[in-house]
Amino acid sequence: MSDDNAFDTEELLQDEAGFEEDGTAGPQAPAAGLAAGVQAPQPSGAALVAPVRLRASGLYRSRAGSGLLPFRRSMELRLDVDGRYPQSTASGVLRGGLQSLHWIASVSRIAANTWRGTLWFKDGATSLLPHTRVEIRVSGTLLRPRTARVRFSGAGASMTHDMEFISPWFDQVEFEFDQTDDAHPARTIGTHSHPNRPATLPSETLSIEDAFRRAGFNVSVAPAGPPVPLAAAGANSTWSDTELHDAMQLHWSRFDNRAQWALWVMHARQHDSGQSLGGIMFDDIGPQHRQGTAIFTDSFISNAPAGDAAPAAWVARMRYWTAVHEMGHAFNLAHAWQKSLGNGWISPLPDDPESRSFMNYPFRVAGGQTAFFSDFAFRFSDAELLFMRHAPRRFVQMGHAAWFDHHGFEGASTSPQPQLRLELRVHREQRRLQFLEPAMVELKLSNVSDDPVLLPVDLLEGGHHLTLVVKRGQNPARVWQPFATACHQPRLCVLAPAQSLYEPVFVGAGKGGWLVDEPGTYTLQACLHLPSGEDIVSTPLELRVSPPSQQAEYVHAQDFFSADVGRVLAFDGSRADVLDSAMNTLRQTTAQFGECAAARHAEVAVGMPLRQAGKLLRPGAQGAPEVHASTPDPIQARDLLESALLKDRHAAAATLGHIEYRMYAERFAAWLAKDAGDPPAAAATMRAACDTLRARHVKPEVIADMESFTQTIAAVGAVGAVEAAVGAAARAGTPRKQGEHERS
Amino acid sequence: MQLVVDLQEGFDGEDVLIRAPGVEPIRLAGLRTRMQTGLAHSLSIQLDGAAGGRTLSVVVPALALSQAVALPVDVPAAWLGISLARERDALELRIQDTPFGYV
Repeated sequence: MSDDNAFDTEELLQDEAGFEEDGTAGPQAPAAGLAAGVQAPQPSGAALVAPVRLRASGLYRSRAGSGLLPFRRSMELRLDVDGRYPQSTASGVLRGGLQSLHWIASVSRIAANTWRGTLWFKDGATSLLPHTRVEIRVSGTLLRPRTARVRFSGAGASMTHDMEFISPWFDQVEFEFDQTDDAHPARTIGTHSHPNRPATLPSETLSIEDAFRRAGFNVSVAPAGPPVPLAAAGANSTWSDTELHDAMQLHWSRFDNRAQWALWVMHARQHDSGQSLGGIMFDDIGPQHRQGTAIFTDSFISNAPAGDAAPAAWVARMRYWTAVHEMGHAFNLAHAWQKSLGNGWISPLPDDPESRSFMNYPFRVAGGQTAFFSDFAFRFSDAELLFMRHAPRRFVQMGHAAWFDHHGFEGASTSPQPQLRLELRVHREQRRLQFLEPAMVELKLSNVSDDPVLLPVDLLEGGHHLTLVVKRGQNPARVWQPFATACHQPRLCVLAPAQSLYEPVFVGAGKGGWLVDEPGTYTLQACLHLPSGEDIVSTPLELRVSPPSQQAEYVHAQDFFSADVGRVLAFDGSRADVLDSAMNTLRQTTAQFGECAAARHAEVAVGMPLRQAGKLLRPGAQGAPEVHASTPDPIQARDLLESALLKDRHAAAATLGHIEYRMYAERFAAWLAKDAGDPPAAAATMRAACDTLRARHVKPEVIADMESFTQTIAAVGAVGAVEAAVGAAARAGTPRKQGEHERS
Repeated sequence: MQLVVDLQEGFDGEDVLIRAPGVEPIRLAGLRTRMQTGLAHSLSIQLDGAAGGRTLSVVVPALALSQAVALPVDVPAAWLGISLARERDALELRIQDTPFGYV
């Protein structure tokens, strides 16, 4: 590391306008963030100018790396040593090739503009950073932007990174505030509005945003719409969690099924549960948690204690405090007395039941709310600030780690900034399955980096790199085991930036039996283990299975949820005698429950083997095995497959999944054109399938492929082309082409 | 007297049995504390006037825990909070004359 002392001797960089100094803030500093702190010497010739203080805290990134891509290393640094509530902490993410590591160190100042400390947290590929100590030196001049030189030492050869100052904030977050027309939000608070307060508390007006700016976030606020009128709701003016979640999806301009630094905040009058609930971070529903909170302004928080000296100010303060408290939950902060529960990001976290933090209940501390507010400085605790500023971002960012849990796969070796993103999804508006409906999900693996990634072609196939777990309610999770595992010659493919791989998975059943059968809520999560050792973990997907709609479904379930039926569904039917019972169950499904989604799967499984003769291996007269040909039934096959694919096309595409629906349509159309001698019907089938998937926002390139296929099979005498075109699609379990499907 | 019983902290799937004077025993199955609020379940029990001063007992069979509390006398309503201690070795009962609040 260079020992140059440039920062101490050169001219000083003036601090940016609007930033705080020395930890104080006021209305004159609305953009208050991490405050000033690093004192630099007065430049010569500036005797009449007050000493300029340069803050060191903030976000730094390494300068453009050099070297070949796989060996290039980059780093992000979060320095937190001065300004508002400094945590004497440095943290960062080091990336190298496909791997990355999140590190955190406690640091102390050892000289002007220099901090040194010990690394106490590593998460990710520890081989990237075997070191135990870090030293950080910050420089800056009027002509040269702030920089930091970071040197790691303590194990092996030391390593130095030169960093550029990016921002005084650690992350950018957007809040959107909405309210009903009967709510009374408190978006700001005068810290002296109530006489019961700390004697040393500065008098200022704080917004909700200010509370999070002081935690290190660059907060922006989305324009709010007009208050939501409740007249149409009639007497039902209170809110359930489900209603709030639905409202978030419909009303919030930023809602998306992905992690993002954005939060929806709804102020309403009251929750369905009544006066006792002041607010709720309601979003522990679905795969992306912590995206929405609600504050109920006319709950118990609007009831000042009898005899309070300033009841209106008490109520305003409670409404403000509750809003920040609920929003704190969205940053994955637990209650002060619950820190030791659940999966802490560092373990064990100590409970802090007496803390004067936004995340403690005022009425739980010794002395009650009077004691709490007499010593409450409108801030988060140091432990909470450490988490918000320095924990791996997936634990903090909204929509990432599930509420109260930093991770679904304990011990997975993940990267905080992975190049790949894995999604589990279903093609339906509501993640609800009918009773008996076989659960189909789709895996989507996307390259979210700027560089191409080399991957095994069979990465998404079951039995190799994929682990998929299914958890019903609070029951133990079960691992899905595919009925068959293919052995391929190892091959690699290149996944370009923004491209994706897809794979349909019949997750309803596997070698271990049925995993999604009984009514209830199921949580599914997938993990891909890359050859590099890194794990890519999907966000959880929640599915609900509805109860039976009729008693007959319940009775039929006893036959349907058998191992053999699961096996037959997985292999699209069977001609084998030993599976006759399962095939009969599926025939009964089509006959008795023809309008149900399960019938679509059954029709495919029964209809596909009937299209053409197949080989059956049976013991012969002398006991030796003999090959027999099964008898096709093209009329019944056509009836069944038309019913499965064309009768209610959208329902079929939803329950079979887009990839499987396309594959079955192409195989059916190819058979119609080639074996049934009906090219017009084949073309009509394909046109219907194209229309269906187009309406369901499948990518135009996929539709174009299907249209090309349609033209091929419609052409008289193009049977050979049909065979060639159908070949790949007809092979069950073949990895899907890159970018094959995408919803808009 | 109306008694509001809030099952609060520490529940992780346990069954709870509540025996209050003059009413059938109440069994609550599979209670689980919701971490956002610190509340697992809330119920309201209407007790006759003679219940005041008598004892309400709470049992968690799976943990072999029980605890009793004397009901207040001559009040129209009371609120009882029931929590499992952090070590899961004791029941904590708190009775008060105002509702509990959750955020």
